[in-house]
Amino acid sequence: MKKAFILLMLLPLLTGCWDRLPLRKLNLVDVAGFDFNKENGEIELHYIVTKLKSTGQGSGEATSQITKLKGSSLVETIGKGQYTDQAPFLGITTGTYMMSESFASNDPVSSLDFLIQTPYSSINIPVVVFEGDMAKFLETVPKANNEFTENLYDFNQALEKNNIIPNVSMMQLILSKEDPLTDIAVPVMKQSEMGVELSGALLFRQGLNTETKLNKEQVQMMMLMNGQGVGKQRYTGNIQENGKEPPPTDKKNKNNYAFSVKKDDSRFKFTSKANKLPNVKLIVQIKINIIDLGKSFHQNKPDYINHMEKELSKHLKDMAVTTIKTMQKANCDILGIGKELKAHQPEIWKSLDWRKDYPRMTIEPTFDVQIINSDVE
Amino acid sequence: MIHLKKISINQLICLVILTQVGVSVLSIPYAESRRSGYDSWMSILIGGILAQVVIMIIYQLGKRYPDQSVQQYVFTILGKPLGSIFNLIFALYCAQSSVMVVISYSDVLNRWVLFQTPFFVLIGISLVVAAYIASSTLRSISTITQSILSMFLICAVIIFISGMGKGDWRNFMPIGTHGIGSILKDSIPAFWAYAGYELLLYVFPFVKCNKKKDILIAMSIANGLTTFFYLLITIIVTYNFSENQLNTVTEPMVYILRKFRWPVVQSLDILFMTLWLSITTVTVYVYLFLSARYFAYVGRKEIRKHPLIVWIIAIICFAIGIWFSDRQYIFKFSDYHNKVTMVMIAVPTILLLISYVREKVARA
Repeated sequence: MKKAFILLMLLPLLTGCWDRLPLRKLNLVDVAGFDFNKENGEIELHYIVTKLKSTGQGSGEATSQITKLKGSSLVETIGKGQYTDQAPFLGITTGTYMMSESFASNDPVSSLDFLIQTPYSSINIPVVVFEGDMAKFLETVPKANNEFTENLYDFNQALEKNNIIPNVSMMQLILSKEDPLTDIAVPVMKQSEMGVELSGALLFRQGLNTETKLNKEQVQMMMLMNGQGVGKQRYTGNIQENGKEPPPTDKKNKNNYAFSVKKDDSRFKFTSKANKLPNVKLIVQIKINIIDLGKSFHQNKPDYINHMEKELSKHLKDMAVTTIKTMQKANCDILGIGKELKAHQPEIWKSLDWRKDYPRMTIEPTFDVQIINSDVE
Repeated sequence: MIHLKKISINQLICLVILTQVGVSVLSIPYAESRRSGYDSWMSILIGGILAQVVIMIIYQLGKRYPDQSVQQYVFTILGKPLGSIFNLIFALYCAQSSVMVVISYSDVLNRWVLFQTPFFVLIGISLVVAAYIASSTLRSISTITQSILSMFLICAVIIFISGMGKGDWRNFMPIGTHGIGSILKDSIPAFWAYAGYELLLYVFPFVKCNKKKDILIAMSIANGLTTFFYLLITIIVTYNFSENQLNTVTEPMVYILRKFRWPVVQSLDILFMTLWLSITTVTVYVYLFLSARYFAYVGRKEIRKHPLIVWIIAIICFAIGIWFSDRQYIFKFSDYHNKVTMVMIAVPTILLLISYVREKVARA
């Protein structure tokens, strides 16, 4: 009796009495879109919450509810959320953070860094930049396409899983501001009918937008140069032999290629001379499975393969040079050359003024392509 | 009644490991990297070695009085009045350690998991559970601790899984550039994180063993495992965060748990912190138990009402703890507690020296 009484007395002490979160009454946010209105300087926040209607056993109709909030800062805007009839919003299972181009250009990390300290906020969720009119997109597409939020979530996961472009989580974006050697490339998406497609990557230097975008081919080169090219994804393109592009009608001399990477190793080699900037050699060795290589598959004989390996190496090198130049112009060290120098060449590192010297350094990529699925003669 | 049955070597290892690890797991190696930066893993390692030195001293002291606990042989070394003061000071220190752990972890829970639950409820629940366990025998406490070890292993797996993935081994390079001075200075806060081995002062005569050396081996294994665990956390944190990032992240393990993406559990940090409460509870009840045992020997005669003393201490701890809902006070209290720990660690050395001198004088 005494024990039972003590147990009953203890019941009110159970923490659930205070901190319970009834799941039904929560609005779990699928997409949180951040926009910056250049005209009035206001931050606009778009919450997409998906709810199930006419639920049955394992079925139901998903509908997206969109809430738009405005305020002078992001914290204030989120705070306003609690006064709407849709509230409370909970970011605990947010699927994607979407930034408009204007928001991304306006020191986004300073607006977002409070999320790091906020309990129950999702900081492990990918951030993407939306190219185009994000407000209009979020007001129309999710309503028209019920599966949009789920597709977007899956798409982000697929990008990472297939090594097309690594996801940048909210925490990575926020903490990149603290570290002068952690530059990042945030995936850029644009509207594609009733969904989105990857359009490239926006380069961020210490949490600030460099306003430089890598296109899809450059993103592929970035992945190859970072040694992250392995995966099911196809690298496709067209080799221009002798620097000349064959006319589109010339199907005979057109060297279309398509391959997937089985192994991708990249390493740096540094050489330095007194009073001169160090030379950086980026050596990329890839082993590829060819799917298409100009000629029909039965002609993939060793001589031709050897020739095409060299052509492909040269072609990839040319593309890498352009990509590196774009990165240097933006003063954005996505390849982690600074980290490599600091870690392995501390003497050279000490002699450098990194942000000043990086854009002027000579970075020379070399590609060694090996086709591993050629025919045996 | 309290220590009729002896504890096994395995139980001693479990007790020491789980008393050593506590709230600091979430903040390691923030405090240990203020000077040594990404070389903080060396400071953690040196901290473990320092703890091992203290364990050796306590072992030497215990070996001289193999059938008595410190509460009893302190009278032989220091005499009656000083011995009572020693027991009182150690009792207060152990109670203070309990309060420190309870308020620190309640603060963590209040900030990350249970925001609306009043602070006194968190402290109350932690202390009620801890006091209930501490009021039992050393053997029962050891058995409970052995069961809690499974929780610890689950937590260790969670830490390991969430820590791997995206990171950079170059964060460790170039090794040793912060200098030996900085690394040594940071090994002091690392050393505080190892507190818990002083348990041996009390349990030495109650360990079932063939040779007394087994106790030293068991203590060394326990301390070695704790050092390995702390080292693992430091490596995981440094792998995930660069030195500059670590300067802004005061509780790196929380962020590593938060950044992990797993479709089944969205917020691994909440799950971890809830499970980790059981580990911090071990530290709390061990210190409550020790505090009560020291109090029992403050007077002329041993006070035999152990559960009553435990509950009284727990109530006093609760009354003190509820004043620490403001983090600023916790930081001040923590600073003070660390300083006191340094003093308390010197005590066994002094006792050992005095007992040597006394022996020599007696022989002469």
